[in-house]
Amino acid sequence: MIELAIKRKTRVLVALDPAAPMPSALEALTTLAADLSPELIGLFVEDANLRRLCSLSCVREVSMDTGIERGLDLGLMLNQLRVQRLRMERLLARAARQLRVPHRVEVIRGELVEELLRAAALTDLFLVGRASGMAGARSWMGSRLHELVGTVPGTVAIVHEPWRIGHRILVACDGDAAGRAALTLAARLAGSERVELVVALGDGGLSSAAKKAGLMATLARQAPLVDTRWVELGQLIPERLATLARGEQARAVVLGAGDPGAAAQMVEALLQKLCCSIVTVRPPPGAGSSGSAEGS
Amino acid sequence: MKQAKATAAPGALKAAQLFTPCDPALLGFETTADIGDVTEVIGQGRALAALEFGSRTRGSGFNLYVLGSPGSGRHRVVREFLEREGADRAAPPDWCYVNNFSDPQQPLGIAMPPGRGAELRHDMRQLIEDLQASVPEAFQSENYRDRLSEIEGEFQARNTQALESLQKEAEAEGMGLLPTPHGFAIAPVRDGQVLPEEEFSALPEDQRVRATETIRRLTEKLRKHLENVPIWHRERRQRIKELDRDVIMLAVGALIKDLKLRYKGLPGIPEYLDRVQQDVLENVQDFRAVEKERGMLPLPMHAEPDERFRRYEVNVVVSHEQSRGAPIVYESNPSYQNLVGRVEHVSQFGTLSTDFTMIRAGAMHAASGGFLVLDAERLLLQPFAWEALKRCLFGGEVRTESMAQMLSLVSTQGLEPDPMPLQIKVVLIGNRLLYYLLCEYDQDFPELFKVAADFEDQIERSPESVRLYARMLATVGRQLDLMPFSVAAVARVIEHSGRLVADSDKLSTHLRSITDLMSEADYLAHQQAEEVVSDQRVDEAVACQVARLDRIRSRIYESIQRGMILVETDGARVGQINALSVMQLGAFSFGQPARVTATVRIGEGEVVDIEREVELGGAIHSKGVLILSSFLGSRYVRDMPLSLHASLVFEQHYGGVEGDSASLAELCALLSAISGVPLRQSLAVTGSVNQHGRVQTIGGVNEKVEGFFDICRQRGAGGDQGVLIPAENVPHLMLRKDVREAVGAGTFHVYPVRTVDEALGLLTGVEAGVAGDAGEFPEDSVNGRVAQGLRELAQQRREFGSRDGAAASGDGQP
Repeated sequence: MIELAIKRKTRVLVALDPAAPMPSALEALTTLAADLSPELIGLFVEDANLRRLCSLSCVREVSMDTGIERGLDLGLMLNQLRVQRLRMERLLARAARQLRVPHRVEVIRGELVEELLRAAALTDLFLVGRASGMAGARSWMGSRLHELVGTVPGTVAIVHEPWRIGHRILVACDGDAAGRAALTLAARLAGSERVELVVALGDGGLSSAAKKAGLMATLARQAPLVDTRWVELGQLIPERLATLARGEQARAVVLGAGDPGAAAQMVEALLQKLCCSIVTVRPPPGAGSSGSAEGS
Repeated sequence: MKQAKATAAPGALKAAQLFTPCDPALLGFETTADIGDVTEVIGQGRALAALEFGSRTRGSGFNLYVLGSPGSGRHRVVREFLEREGADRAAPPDWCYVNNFSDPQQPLGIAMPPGRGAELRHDMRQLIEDLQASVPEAFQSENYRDRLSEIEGEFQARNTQALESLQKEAEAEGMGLLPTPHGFAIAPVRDGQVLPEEEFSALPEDQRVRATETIRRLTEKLRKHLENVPIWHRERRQRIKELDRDVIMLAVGALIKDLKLRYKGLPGIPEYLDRVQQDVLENVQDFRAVEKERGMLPLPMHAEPDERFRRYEVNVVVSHEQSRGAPIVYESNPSYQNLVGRVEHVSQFGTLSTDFTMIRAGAMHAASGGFLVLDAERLLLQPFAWEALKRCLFGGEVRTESMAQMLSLVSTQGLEPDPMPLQIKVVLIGNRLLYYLLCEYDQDFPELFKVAADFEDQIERSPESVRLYARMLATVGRQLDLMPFSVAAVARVIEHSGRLVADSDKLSTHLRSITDLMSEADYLAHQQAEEVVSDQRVDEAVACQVARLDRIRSRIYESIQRGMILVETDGARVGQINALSVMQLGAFSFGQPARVTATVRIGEGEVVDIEREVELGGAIHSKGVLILSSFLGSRYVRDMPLSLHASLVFEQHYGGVEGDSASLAELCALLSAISGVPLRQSLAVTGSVNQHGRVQTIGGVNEKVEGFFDICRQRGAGGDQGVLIPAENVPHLMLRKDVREAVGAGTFHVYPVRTVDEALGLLTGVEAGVAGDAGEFPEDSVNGRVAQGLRELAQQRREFGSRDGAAASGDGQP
């Protein structure tokens, strides 16, 4: 179980970004939120930037599918957004039915990142789709990604299209509270997806042997049936993690986000290097940044 | 007056001449349990030789037609012969239909060595099962994932680099690359936000112009980049497709190669397997989908084969997996479709659909390489079946198509399976009439059925054949699980066999009649808790068979006794005689005495057959009557015209009369009427007669004699009753025991006659008379009186003619 030390009902927020693929995000959602019985919220932000674009006569839109260039019309764009919103609402409703949880859709007009951050502040699990091949252009959070990773009190999942492209779950863990939370989530993901779990151990905190023994004991309690392999990675830097993820054919890389800034940098770097999903997990409130391996 | 010259009157037959018994001592056993089975077929040498020739010769059209009477055991003999003949031959190939991947409407036919059709079917099912597992596995392999990642990564990197480069260039010029619902746009940005229109308008003119120009230039770059995206996508898809193909080839190639090795050297198989491989490559998504669907299904579903993989099935329409030797197929219902096979359909959502797996073999398929046995009559009664059979035999192949297709009655798309090459011997079993009709009216028949196997209805009766016959009876009895027959019972059955063919020198080959009698005798013995069937039970069985069918005969004889049907058995009458006919009612026949009368008057030489006039007489009967006119004219009045008008009639006969066996009786009645000499009514007459007065053989002599005997016995007649039969029929006599006893006691007589004169002598008690050198008969003889009667009629006619002519000329005078 993800240890969410909150009393209110678990909130799962899915960014209904028309540019991000929804099916995979919702497929991952059914795995990630299977045991949470959450309140499912779809957030659709009508970006103020789009309205501004339409007001600039010199700006032209180039179609992603055809390369055809055309002028921007506000009425037409609003209509396109409405159609996309309805389509995504249907997909969300289907996922909610599958999870047997209530759902609702919030439509907000404003600055996309600001609105997402505002909504994310009250979110336990934040999901957004990630289009294959569009990583650079679609890193819409830009330099503020760390804000998102830091703002969401629980988990951020950037879900690759397709979700089930690899066949292992890779978790980076250096034994701190965030790492242990990441390990717990990763173990549950591996169990649900019936794939092997690869634990990349960093050299921070306790000595490696003691850390590994503690984490193994935790895992044995929480996910006794999951096949687990341990890899001593030394320093948990993006290059090593990316190499390991590629080598292991990782379906998802799970990171602890004790330091939102570092986690955001890691995410940005991995997005550039990997074709898989990336999940960040914040430590539960009140947990120390470097507690014992048995502490969770 | 001339004296009648004597003609030797024939003597009556002795009782021993009326029946040829079978001597049990000749058989040499006590019961049939003492003798072994007989393996050879008795008395059918001609038919067996024909069967041997027809079944072994390789020429075209040497199919067989087996002629013979129903119940003669033709089917059993043919079956046993063919089983022996086919046992030493090699089993023919299996025949399979597989999907034609180029044109599914024309399934491909493949010949396989015996038994290997089922093996191929099993191997193909195993292949598909293996592929359902190995194809998804191949796509989940690390190797595939790596290579897919490489392709995706390469494409992603290419796209990302281009967009990032553009984004950086835009940022350097104060612009941003922004996503829109359907693409991207280049716009001026500040702090990550698009510059509002009022701020953009408020920019100095030169900045605004420069910004506009930058937007236009970068948008053009963006457009050029995005124009490439579909091409890259296509390239990516193509590379993924090639990757998929490589991966599948790893999974499929080895399996197909293994199959090719297993079926090396078999024509058509390598090509078929190549097409299977190609099709698997083209439809790999079917195999990938299976794994997903299995995961989604709550329970494993193995009951129904997956429709998507039906096209890889092998439809073994003819399998000789369990066969030994050449196939022998007996098709009891030789309808068109049962012969050439059919294509079945299934109803799906209100429409009928089919494919090659629904092709069903017909008897022609099953019998190819061996023998097909058909009942000729049943075959001819089935619409289009005869034509289909001929077409197959002429073409040397069997083509499965519906009647509607064959007649071009439908234009909807249907299956046209490859025709199967045909190497077959067809054995038609039918009656003789059908054979001769087919020879006469179907010009293809002699070309296709060149060998006739004609089964004898009877065989010669000799000591050897009788002993063999006894062994055959023993064999049949054991086959029918009957209790043993005593030697006397066997002898009795053999005697009955002779009676069945109405010939004391022959035995019947009509097995059904014999086995029916044996079964009934066995039943009666069982009723008496006996352990061996005795001759008494055989006699009882014969009597029971008669009794069951005896109702009509009893009614007729009763009518005769009550005088409703007029038959006299004593006294003498002019122009009246007892003739004998045989009535055949199903399996039972019996003799029926009938009164024949004749009248004469002046006429122009006509003998009128009243039966013929009212269309109750058949052609042969009429022929017999016409012969009488000729006989009269040529024998008695050569020098003057025959001047009588005679009428002959079968009294109280209201059904048809056929055959000429009453012509002797009719002639005697006619001569009596002309001569005025009365005929003894205690005698009955049967026999045909030719123009010279010679008596000829007839059929049913036993029934006729027994028929008149029964009437006489019922009346308690005095003892001079008897029957005149043609002398040539004496060997045919197999009369009942009671008749023989009456003859032995001298209370009934059977007279063999060779000429009409002999018959007249017996019937009239007067010498018939032999013509002298001048052709004149003695005056007091029957013939002399006939000649005199005819001359008188001629004289009367002449006188009548003169008187009539004179009257006519007188009338003409003024």
